[in-house]
Amino acid sequence: MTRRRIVLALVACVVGVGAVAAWQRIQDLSLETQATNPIVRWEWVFLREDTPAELWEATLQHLQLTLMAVGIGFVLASVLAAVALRFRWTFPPITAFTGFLYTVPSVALFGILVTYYSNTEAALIALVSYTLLILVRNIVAGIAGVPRAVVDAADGLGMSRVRRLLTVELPLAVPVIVAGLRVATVTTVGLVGITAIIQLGGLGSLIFEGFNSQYYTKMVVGSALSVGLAVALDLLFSRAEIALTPWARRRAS
Amino acid sequence: MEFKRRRRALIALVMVLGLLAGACGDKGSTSSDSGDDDSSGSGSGTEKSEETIRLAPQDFAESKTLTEVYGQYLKAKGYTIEIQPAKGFREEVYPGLRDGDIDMIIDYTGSAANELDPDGTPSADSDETYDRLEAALKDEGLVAYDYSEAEDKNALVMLKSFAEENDITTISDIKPVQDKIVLGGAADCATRTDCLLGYQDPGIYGITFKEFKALEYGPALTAALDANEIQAAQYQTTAPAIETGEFVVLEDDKGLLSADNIVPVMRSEVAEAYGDELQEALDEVSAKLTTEDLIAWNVGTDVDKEEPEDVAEAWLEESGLL
Amino acid sequence: MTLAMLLAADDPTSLIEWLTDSATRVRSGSIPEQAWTTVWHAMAALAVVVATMVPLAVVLAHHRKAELVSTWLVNIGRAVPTVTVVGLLVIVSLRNGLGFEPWPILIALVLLALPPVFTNTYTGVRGVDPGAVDAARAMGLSTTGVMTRVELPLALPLILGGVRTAAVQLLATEPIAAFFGGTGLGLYLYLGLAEDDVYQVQAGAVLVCAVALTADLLLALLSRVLVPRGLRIGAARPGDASRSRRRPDAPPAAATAAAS
Repeated sequence: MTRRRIVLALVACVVGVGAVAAWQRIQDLSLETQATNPIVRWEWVFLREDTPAELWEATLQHLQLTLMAVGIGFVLASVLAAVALRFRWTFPPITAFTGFLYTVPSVALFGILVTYYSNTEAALIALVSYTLLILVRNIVAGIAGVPRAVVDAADGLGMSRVRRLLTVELPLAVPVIVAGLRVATVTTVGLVGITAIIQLGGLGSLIFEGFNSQYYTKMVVGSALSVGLAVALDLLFSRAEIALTPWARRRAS
Repeated sequence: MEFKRRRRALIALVMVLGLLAGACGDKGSTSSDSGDDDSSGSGSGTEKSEETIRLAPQDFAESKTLTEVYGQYLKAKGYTIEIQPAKGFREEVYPGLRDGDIDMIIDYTGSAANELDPDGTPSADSDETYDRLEAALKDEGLVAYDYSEAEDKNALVMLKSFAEENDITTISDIKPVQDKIVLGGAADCATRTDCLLGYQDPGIYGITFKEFKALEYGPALTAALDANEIQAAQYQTTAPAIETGEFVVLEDDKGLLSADNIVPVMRSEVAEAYGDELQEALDEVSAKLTTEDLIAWNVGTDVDKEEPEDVAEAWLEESGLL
Repeated sequence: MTLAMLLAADDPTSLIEWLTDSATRVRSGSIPEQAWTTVWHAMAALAVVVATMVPLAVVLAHHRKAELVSTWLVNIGRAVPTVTVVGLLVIVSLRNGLGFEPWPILIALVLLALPPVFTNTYTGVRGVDPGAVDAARAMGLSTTGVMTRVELPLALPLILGGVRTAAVQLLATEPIAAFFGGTGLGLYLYLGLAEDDVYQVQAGAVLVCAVALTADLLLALLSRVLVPRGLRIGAARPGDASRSRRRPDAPPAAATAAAS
């Protein structure tokens, strides 16, 4: 325990010193000193008026597309999962199909879809199909994983099928479902970066723009933000997972 | 206790869903996918002064700066302007103009004329090229305003050291050493009569390059030239590296490359709807613009990595237009 | 060939025509050439990763404390988006006279292949029946002998599974190199998107999928040939019920390849 604390303290110190040093450097700079092309040009990030707004807009675009794809994917996956749970024989073909969708290379899928649909539609279709495998699998595993004894107890209490689903099976399936949502979301964040090749903006376009103007800073900032977004969403979902299963925590403590 | 926690979690989830819903709602209003939906009510030629004039640049820095310059000036004059993100080159932009998805572009006389009238004869004379353009535009329902003296011609550039080593001063000088020369350019160069097709045409230059490499038009292209990944690049006469002497422009001895003055091109409905005021505003900018300005802009965007909007704003302020 | 003929030569009317008529590929290079570029990039990266990660994972699997190093190694490949790695490396590579390829894409692909190969080997070796290891030691095998003649073969199904996942991921991601000045099958996608050439984009997409699928099938076949029936994943083994076997999920992950 104490070793970990020491390490954490050291890391915090390094980060703190680094932050102070960076701030000092920024204070000494101005927009005029732009003759070089260093790895990160801090002035562009912090001093230029429009940059924070542009970065925020790019992040928001990225987030919107991610959430939309995961949302639609979740709805579709729930439907497929419901079918698979009700008619057990459909589960292997459904898994095979969603698994196949997952295998299709993303650049190729975007490419082909964009020749038939508009850019946004193509991106959404592709992004949604990549989420289906993990979501269907987790929803089914979650609900099917509820112990038989609990289901019987609920039936014994006289609950209707729907009531049982909503008040017993779903809450118990939540951890697995949220875990699936978590993986799907993080994966989608990465894939949205690729949609920049079909001009869908977001943080991926920062990276491409940076490359086209041979400008390191944009590329580094773009990818740092997209990694940051993925990490933030991951944390959000892991918190949600913990918050939604209070009984697991009580059992553990 | 646990109920409260559950509720908080539920609220968090609802918030996430709310963001989703917001995303769905917002999607229609972001301009990044404006190329997809049909323009609503813009082709009707109504005289609403709140109607937006949509400009679109081509996918390279100079075009973006030009669009920003004209766009910001018009905005300052009171017009409602929307500057769309660049989606490609002339081949992608003109269909948008024809379909009514965009209203105005800032183009180059010769290249536009070549695009619309590929069988015509290119000319190095600015007036001739402009007339050729006007004639071609008439059939498309588009109209051009006065052209500026500022010019940015397409040019075949080479590293000065390489050109001197191989004794190359004109484009025809490439033919004897064509196996050593990889040509680099934007992807659309491969289908243009004043680019790869013209160089390959046995009736004009008849050069078979070792390879054609498609790259992003801009610093990526010049970096490739610097690194000797490509030996010749189809680039622009306003490139900063030409000013510094690093690159040389090969002489166009067969007259393939035409004059390329800056000219605003727009849909005739929009021109009619706004009339002389709009023309005057555009002409004001065109009159003030010089080729040196274009070079200076490119130094700003390509060397100093500044954003086109900032370069445009700075120039407008300096020249007293803003 | 007059200019008119040059202009008229590129108007295929369908995907099939684009694929079969070689005149359509005057600008973007022949299909076998580009396919080979993509394939050899992926193979080279995979070879490097297998040669370095498999021994490393086998060795690390013996040390409990190496858990941290393992997670670190795995996350390196997932942390930075491949797109950024390729882009930045191309800029660096150009500045140092190394050209557009192959180094940037090779390095990016190596980073990408690290997680699946390493994780699967690590888990595979960890999951080897301790009874078998004890028996081997009892027979007098040295530690190295145990590693190479007992653990490696027993972990083979998982290792091959990891290699298969990695191969498909790599083939799916390699096309991104073309967007940064490289060649390979991605060039068809890049040029097609840039020129608005529908059939070229479709052809590129179809070819990438075909190559990835072929690799997947070939490796599946290889697995079937190399792995004895008794060791195949899912095969019932004596003592299964009493032993908890952790089996990592290794689905084909062509999508996440391009993602991370």
